[in-house]
Amino acid sequence: MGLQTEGIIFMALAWGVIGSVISFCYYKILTTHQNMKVHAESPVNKQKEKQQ
Amino acid sequence: MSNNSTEREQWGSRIGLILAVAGNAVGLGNFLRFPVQAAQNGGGAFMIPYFIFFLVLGIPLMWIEWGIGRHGGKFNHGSAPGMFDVIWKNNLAKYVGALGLFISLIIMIYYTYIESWTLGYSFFSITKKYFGLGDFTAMKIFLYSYQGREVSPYFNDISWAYVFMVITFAINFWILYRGISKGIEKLAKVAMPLLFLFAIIIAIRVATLGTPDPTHPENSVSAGFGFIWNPDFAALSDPKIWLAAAGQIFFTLSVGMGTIHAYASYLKPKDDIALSGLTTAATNEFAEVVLGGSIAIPIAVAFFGVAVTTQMALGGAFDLGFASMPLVFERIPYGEVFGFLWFLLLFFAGITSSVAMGQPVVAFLEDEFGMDRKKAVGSLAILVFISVQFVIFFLKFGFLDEMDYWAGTFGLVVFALIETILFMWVFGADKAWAEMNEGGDIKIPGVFRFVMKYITPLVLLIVMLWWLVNDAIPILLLKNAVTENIPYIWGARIFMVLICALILFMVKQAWKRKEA
Repeated sequence: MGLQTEGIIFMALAWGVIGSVISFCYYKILTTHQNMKVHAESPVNKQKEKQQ
Repeated sequence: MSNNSTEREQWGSRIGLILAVAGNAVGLGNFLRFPVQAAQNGGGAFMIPYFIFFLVLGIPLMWIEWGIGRHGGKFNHGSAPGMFDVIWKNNLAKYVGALGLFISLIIMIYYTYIESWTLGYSFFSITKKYFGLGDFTAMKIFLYSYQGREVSPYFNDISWAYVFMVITFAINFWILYRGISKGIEKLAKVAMPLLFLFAIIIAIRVATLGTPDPTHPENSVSAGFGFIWNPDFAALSDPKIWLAAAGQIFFTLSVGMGTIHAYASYLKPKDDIALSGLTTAATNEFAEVVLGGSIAIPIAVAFFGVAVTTQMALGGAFDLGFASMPLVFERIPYGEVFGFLWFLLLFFAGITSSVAMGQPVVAFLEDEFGMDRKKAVGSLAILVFISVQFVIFFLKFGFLDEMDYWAGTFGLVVFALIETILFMWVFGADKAWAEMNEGGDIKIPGVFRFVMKYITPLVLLIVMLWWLVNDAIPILLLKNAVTENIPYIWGARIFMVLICALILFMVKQAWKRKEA
C-alpha cells in the first residue's frame, strides 16, 4: 500500500511543524544580540590555547 | 559558595554550543530507532502522542536540564553531584546527583563500542567487504561474526572489531582532551553539518528509487513512506503506543543522563538558554522525523516489501541498520559510496553523543578534585578502556544489554524524574522559572511553568512505574534470561554496582576535600 492522502497529510504536518520551529529558532539565533562569537575572547579559552 | 565562573572553560561560539548539544541528542536512535517505532506503533497516528510528549516531556526536560546546568556552572559545578548540591540544601543531594555521573559513564562504556561498529562498516562499505552476501541471514552472520558472537568465513575473531574500537576510543578521548571549545565544539561544527549533508544525500537517493523491481510493484519507496506515515487511528486506544511515544521522545533528546547539564555549565550566567534549548530540540527532531524517517524504512520496503521489513525491524534497530541496509547498498549503483556515507553519518551521530557522555565525569574530576584536563581525561580513558573489555568479550552473553537496560533505559527516567522534582519543587518553581528565563532571547510560554511542575513529573512517574512493572522487575528476576547468560548478567550487575560505589566514594572524598 503506497502513501495515502492521510499519510501525506500527517507527513506534511509533522515536517511543516518541525520546519517552522527550526526556521524560527535559527532565524532568531542569527539575528539576536548574542552574536555568533560570544565567548571567542574568553580569557580562559585563550589561556588554555596557549597551554596547548 | 563562590561565584567565579570566569575561571572555567567557555564555549567559543553560540552556534558551536547548539550544535554540540544537538550532536549529543542526535544519535543512532534518530536514524534506526525512530522509524521502527513509528512503523510498529500506528504509523502517522504515532506522531500524535509523539508531538504531545515532545511538548510535555521533551522540551520541558531540555529547559530544565539547561537551567540546572547553567545554574550549577555559576558555582563551578559541571556535573550533577555539585549541581544538585546547589539546588537542594541537603547532605544527600550530591549522592543523588552521582546518578548523573553513573548513567553517562556506563552508557559511554558500551556506546563507544557500538559507535565503533559504524566506523568499521563505513570501511567495509567503501572496500565492498560485505558485497555479494546476498541475503539477510548471511548479512546477520557477517554482523555477528564481526561482533565475535560467532565464527564465520567473514571473520574468525573480533580483531577487526577491536581495531575499530581502539580507533574510535582514541578519537573520543583526543577530542575530550582538546577541551570544550577546541575539542567538542570543533567536532560539532564539522560533524553535524556533514551528518546532515550525508543524510540529505541519502534521503534524496532513497526518494528517487521509485520501484526498484518492476515485477514487484507493491515494493516501492511510496509504500515505505506509507508504512511509516499512513495513520492507524485504532492504535491510539492502546496505552502501549503512548508509552512507546514517550519513550522515543525521552531517548531521542538524550535527556536524563547528565550530559546537557555538563555542556550548559560552561555558559555565562546571562547567556540565553530558552532559545538555545528549543533550537537543539528542534534540530534533533529534524534529524529524526524528517531525515530518520526518510531513509532506513522506506529503502528497506522498496527492496524487500512491508512483510520482510517488519520482520527485520522486529529484530531490532541494529538488524535494520547493520544487516538490512548493507543488503540495499549492494543492490544500488555506487552502493559502496552510499553505504560509506550512511555508516559515516551514523559514526558522526555516535561520536557527538559519546564525547558528551564523557564530559560529566571529566568536569567532575576537574571541578571537584581540581585535576587538570589531561589528568581528568586520562583517568576516564583508563577506566573506560578497562571496562569496555567486558562489553566486547561478553557481548554475546548479554553483558551490554544488561548495562543498556539499567543505565541507558530505566536509569534515564529515574534521573529525569529526580531532577524535575528537585528543580521545580525543592529549588522552587519560581526560582527555576526565573533561572530558565534569565537572559532568554525568547520568553518561555507561561503554560510551560505548569507543565514542568505538574505534567512532566507525572508523565515521568507513569512511564517509570510502567517500565518498573512490565520490564524492570522481570529483567531483575531474570524471567526471560538464557541460562547460559545468567553468570554474565550477574557479572554486569556487579560491575555496575562497583562503578556506582566508586562514584559515590569519589563524591564523598571530593566534598571531604573541600571541607578540609
